[in-house]
Amino acid sequence: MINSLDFIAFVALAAAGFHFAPGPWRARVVFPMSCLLFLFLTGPSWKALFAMLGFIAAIWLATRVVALRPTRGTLPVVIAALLLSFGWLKGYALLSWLPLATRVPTTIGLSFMLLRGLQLLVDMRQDPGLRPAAIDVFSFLASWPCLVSGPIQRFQDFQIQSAGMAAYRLDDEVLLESLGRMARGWLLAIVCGDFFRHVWLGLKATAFEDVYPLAFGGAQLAFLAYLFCDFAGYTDVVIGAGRLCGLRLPENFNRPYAARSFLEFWGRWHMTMSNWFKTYVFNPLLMALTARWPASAAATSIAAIAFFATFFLVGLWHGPTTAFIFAGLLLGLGASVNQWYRGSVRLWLGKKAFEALSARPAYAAAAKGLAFAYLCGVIVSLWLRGGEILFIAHRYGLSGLAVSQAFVFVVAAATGLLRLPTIPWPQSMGWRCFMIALAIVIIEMYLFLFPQADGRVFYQQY
Amino acid sequence: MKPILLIAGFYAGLNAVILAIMGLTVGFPATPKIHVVEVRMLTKPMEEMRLSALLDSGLLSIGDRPRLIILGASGPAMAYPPRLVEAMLPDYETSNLALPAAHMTETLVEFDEVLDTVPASVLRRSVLVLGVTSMAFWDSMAPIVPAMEPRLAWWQTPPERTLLTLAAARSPALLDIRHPVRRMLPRSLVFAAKQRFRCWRRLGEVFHEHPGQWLAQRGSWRLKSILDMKWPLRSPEVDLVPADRWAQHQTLRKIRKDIERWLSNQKPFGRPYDPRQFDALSTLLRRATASGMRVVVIDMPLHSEFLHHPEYGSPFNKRLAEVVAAVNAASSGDGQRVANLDLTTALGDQYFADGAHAITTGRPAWVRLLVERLRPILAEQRPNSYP
Repeated sequence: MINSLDFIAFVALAAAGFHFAPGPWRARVVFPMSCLLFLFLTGPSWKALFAMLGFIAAIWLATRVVALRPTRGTLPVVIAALLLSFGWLKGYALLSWLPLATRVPTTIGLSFMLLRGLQLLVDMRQDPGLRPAAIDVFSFLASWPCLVSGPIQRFQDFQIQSAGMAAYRLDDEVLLESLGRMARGWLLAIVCGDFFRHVWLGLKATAFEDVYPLAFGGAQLAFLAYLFCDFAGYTDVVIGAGRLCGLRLPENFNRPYAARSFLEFWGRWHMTMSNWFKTYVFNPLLMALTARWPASAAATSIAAIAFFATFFLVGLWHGPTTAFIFAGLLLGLGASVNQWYRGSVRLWLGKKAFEALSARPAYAAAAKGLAFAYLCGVIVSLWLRGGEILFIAHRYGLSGLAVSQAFVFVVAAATGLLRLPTIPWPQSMGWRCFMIALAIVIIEMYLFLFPQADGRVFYQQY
Repeated sequence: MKPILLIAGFYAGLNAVILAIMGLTVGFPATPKIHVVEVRMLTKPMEEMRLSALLDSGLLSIGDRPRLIILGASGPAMAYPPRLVEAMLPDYETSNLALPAAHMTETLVEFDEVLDTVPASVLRRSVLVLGVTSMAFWDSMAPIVPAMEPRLAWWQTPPERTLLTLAAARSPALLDIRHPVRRMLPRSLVFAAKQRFRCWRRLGEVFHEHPGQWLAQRGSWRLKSILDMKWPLRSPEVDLVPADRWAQHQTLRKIRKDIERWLSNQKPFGRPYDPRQFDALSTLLRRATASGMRVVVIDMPLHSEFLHHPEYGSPFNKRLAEVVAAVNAASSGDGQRVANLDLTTALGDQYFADGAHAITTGRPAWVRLLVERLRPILAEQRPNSYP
């Protein structure tokens, strides 16, 4: 995985192959071959490899169907068929009645392929000029920097970059930028992420021993910190690795810890997924609802409903279990309440007064504390099974859970009041090289002391 | 290429500084040198097993009673507490040397240490009980590990024991002497640490693996110090009480699905068994019989969740019986014969903490079953050449 020497060797090989290949070969031969090799190397088994290739083929067939029969009814049928095959390959219990459902191999990156495939199909329906070739569909869906956990790139962006691969030149500045980004990512994922993982697991175990609300609250915060370091670190690594092959992957995080509301958090966290849901779920739904109820008085409620539906789907996207359905409902509730509050208070106080209120440090800190206390509580479903959540709820009771969330609130609000200075790092080549070498040494020392760190990205399971 | 050369230069310089600091601190090379025996196919630190066997078998040499030595993985380690076995089988002094998650190759290393340490006269009057499950013969246990974890929703776990379960999952990261740089540390440091904490098994049971864990157990939420617990650890214990039947049912369904998926994925590559583990079993049995010990191989009881799949049933039993038969056929006239007891279906599900481990309250039933089946074998006439 991304923390392994195998991955480093793979990136070096892919970059060297890409760099030394003739321009026209890069997008047509070298990059697709590197994607195929990556699938082969990371696939859990031969069966999984064929399953993933089959899914890519199914999406390509779907693009052909949409291209050949661009009628209104085609797209829903094609999407339904894709979702069915996706659920079957993911082994969803709902679809256990399908043939060979228990024998489907475990695959990786299928959810991200699905999102990208759906994006392509919807855009093809709207843009008749968009008719991708099979090799482009394969490279886009199996693009190795994005395969395991995103970021979710749009096909149109990928196509532009793919066309530019022939003229791409790997100079010192690009190399330094790529290596710096990768070193930062590894430092974040291996050292910081693993550290918070241990804190989270330790506090989780303590929280299960008896009623320890502070431990349970601490575990929630530590998990969020771990998830951020792990995912953002992974994203840094793949963005850096992608740069070596001429790909400019979209940014996925924008200091989510600085968010001051639930909705702002989702604008800063896993941004490519948020944008995907915004473009392909929220906006169409909002437009449809507004067309049905055009009165301006209903705007706040309509937006709240659209937010609820979108965030419910975000929760469901993580898995079809009861815990994720419940989490989806809570995410939807949080988003719609946040939107309803924002709209109502703005209407009540007026735009300027509301902005002045939002700018007050105490108000902003309290809003941040509230947002994180709610968010941390909701994403508990990512690390506790349904039975375990019931167990904790039963054991802690309402008062215990309230104390846990109050602890999260206090910590998050306190960080909202902090004002960290910005350090102006020198930008000379020597200094940047020194920082990269220092990051590598720190990672090595950490792995020497604590060799248990594995290279799996938490989000890989989705 | 200039950035790469610069990074390499800075990297080498930083490492030189670190090595110089380390060298000044512990000496370079450290004295006395640590002798590390390289044994293939081992996943546990060699030194751990050697020390574990040495200390336990050191106790064996006290007194003159015949010994019952239990070997195997976590199944026998958790199911047969020595005191309980001795209470039901008073003629034998019992030592449970089973190592959690041990493959047969590792059990063989541990048994060799027993052979080297325990006097031959004691060995000839001793009985070796080797508890095995098919998992000790798989090439990797990693896929099955999640299925073997005690479920917190499934069982209510008393505080002390949870801490112990957590501690048992840790491994000796800081003092893992197999690492080339760690070999510079004096051997006495490892030994002193073990003596200091009277930990005879994995160091991870007493040391925090990671500062994050240490941090997590500080503060007002900390239950109690790990070191306050009762030492030495004879075997990891998990005190579990059934909690929620619905959650249990759900968990079992998931486990079955996981296992089926895993086995299904394995099929293109053949069976999950590692033939080298069967070779190790054969070697262990031959050495045990040659030393004059009575040897009983036990196919350990399994929860019905494991028995539903044919992989855990007759094919493994058959292969195990073939190894035992081959050892018996090859042994000379005056050697001991190996007995093979298949107990896979002998215990009800209520005696299990998970798929293959004893629940604390079920241990008397596990031990009673073992003793009942052992008695007829122990009552048999021994060959004339042994007293």
